[in-house]
Amino acid sequence: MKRRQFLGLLGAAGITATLGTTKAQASTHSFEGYPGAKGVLFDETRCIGCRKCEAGCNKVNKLPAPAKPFADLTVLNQERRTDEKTYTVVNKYRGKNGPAFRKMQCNHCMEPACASVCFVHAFTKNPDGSVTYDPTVCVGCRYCMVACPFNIPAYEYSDPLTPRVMKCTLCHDQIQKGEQTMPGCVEACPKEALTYGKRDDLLQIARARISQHPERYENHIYGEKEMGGTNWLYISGDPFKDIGLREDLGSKSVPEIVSGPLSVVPMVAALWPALLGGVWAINKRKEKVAAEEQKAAVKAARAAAKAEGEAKLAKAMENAERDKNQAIEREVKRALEEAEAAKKDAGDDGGEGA
Amino acid sequence: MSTENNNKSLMTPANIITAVILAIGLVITVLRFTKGLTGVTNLDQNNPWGLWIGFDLLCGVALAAGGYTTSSACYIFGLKKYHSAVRPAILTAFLGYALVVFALHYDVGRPYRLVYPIFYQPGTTSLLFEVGLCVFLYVTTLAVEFSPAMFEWLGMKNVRNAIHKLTLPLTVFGVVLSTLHQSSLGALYIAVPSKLHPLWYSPYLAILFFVSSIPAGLSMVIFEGTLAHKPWHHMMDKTHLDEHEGVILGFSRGAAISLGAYFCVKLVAMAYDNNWSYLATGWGAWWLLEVVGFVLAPCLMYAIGSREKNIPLIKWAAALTVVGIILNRLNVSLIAFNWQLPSSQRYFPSFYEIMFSVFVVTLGVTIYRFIVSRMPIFFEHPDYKDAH
Amino acid sequence: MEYYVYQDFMLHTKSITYILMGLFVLGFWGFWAFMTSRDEEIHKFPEHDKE
Repeated sequence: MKRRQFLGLLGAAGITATLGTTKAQASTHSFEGYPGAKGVLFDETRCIGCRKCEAGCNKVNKLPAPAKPFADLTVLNQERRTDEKTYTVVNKYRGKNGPAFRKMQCNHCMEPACASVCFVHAFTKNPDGSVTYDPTVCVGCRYCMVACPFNIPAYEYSDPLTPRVMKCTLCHDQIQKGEQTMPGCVEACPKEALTYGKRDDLLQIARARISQHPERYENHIYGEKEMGGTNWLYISGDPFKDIGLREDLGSKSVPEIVSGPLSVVPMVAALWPALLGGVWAINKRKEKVAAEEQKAAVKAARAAAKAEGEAKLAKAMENAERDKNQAIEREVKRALEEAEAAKKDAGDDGGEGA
Repeated sequence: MSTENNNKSLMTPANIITAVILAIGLVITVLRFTKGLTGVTNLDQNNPWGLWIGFDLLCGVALAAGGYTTSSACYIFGLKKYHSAVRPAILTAFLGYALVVFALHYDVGRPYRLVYPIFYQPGTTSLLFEVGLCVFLYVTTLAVEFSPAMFEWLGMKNVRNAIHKLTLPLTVFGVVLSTLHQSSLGALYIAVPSKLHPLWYSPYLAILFFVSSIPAGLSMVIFEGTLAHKPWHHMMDKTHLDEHEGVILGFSRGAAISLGAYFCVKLVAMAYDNNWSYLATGWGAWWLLEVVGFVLAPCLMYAIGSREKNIPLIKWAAALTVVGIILNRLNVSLIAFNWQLPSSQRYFPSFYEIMFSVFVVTLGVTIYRFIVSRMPIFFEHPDYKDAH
Repeated sequence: MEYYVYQDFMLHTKSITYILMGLFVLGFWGFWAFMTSRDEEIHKFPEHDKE
């Protein structure tokens, strides 16, 4: 066995060397996101609900013209969400001091739920901070839509054969190509409610604004930790839940949440065959032993029956022998008696003359 | 044995209804692939998964679990008295899974790319990848497990015998795959704690789905066995008929135990997040209905039925369990999902969505009828009596 | 290679894991076949052996 053990160890070392090239171990390493990744800071106290960001997005991404023009502010009376023609919408809410507005779009999560659940790896978290979608591999299962805690991805349901998932791209392509230096919405905002920059810098800016005007802002940066942290950050004068941002999402990202169950999968493949094979083998052994015991029992029973039969036969033979001997004795006795009687008769008849 | 029906007219009431439903299915097919999902479903941006996922996929897979439970009971656990139940169970499972794949071609946006996750760019962090891979492998396994019946019918002895030798490894592989995808279908929803009501959300969803698939499968075997008994009595050989009651009694015991275990897992899931207070709400009443009426009740009915050898009670328990599984899967995927949305934004299936599901089930029943009236499913082919 | 995003790290590890799973199942089958290759055949129907 020594040779086999040695070879086994060699093999294991070889595999570990090939696969273990990454120093990152999930149990000890912490994942902080790409250094220098960019994001956007939305300052709710500055937003006036003019919808120019929506118009900017529409233009830069060459999206279809909406049913009502962007200048029409009556649409704000209805709460809207993103759809297959609209990467971003502004909604009107009831704030502490009158109407409050919030822009809704993909939050470009640090650990995106959509990327985690996509079974064809159609979503990528890019080094520039954006989460982008690849329509050339998408199968259209829509699990990303199910999983997104912010309900952002939209689908082209009316397309029978080539529907796409539609969502904000942080103008990744345009910025990469140099057509834009910042997302179209940020560029269009007249009140600097949107700031584009490195996420770390945006956090600093947000903290500074809050500490400089604590009476103006809620003491929290939404997106700093929510769902593992997002690259789109929000600071607000009104409570976040009042402007449509859920406060019950927790700080665990979907990749983290799913990590546990996902880890059990290979254990089933590793253990089940051995367990089931073992059960089968134990059963076969039981059947074999039962069959052998049965065979032995049948054999013993046959032997017992045979022995019993032979004993009976021997006894019967003995009895027959005895009966025969007795019969012979009886016959001999009778013959002797007859001879005796005959002799007597003969003697009686001629006894005087001798 | 199978020629009796061929001489009669094909225009039986069953066939006519089938034809109508298949025609509706054809209409839906045309609508789906000319107008997109909008033309046929009530799916929207907030409700991307509807009846076709909740019923056709989730319920279809859970109820097809009879294949792995029956074949493992017979071949791995050595319970030979269930042998005559294996082929019907494998047939049902095979048709069930094949139809799940068929229905998926309508639900996904680009069905021609369904092979991408396995053969082009696997998204290995996704439990849906796991589901897809396992369903793909399992439907293949079931096809192979079913094929001896077809080869016997076609008289292809050598092929049949070669495949028959693979029974044990196929059965083991089938149990591995079934465990994985039954649990992963539940695990899909572990990713969405914010959208699933706390009474149905749990990190244990994978275990809940897997454990409940066992009584689901066992109950379906009893349920279908009951439904098939009269119309195909003439196809059933002596072994099948003799073993029938033993299958019902034995499976009722297994179902009682697995439903009891499932109930315990449900309680553990409740305790995990301390969700007891939700029981006092309207949702709580609905949860209690599902668990008490459709898990605990059939569990007790199975136990008593098995103890007293009360076959009718067991059959009712089977029906109740099947309904309970459907209720649970629909609760997780449609009813308790998106529970926080205002009712105007909630989803309800369209007429076409419902008809499509009817169409899929009808397709399955039709193919099932064709096969059992011709191939050795309910009887052993006289040339191959070594099946034990 | 350093991973900045947990999701990307998992994609890497899980891809390897799935390949391992395939190897486990096939490997186990081969291992089992090897181990049982000299077992006595179980003859349940002796009359079938006559052929």
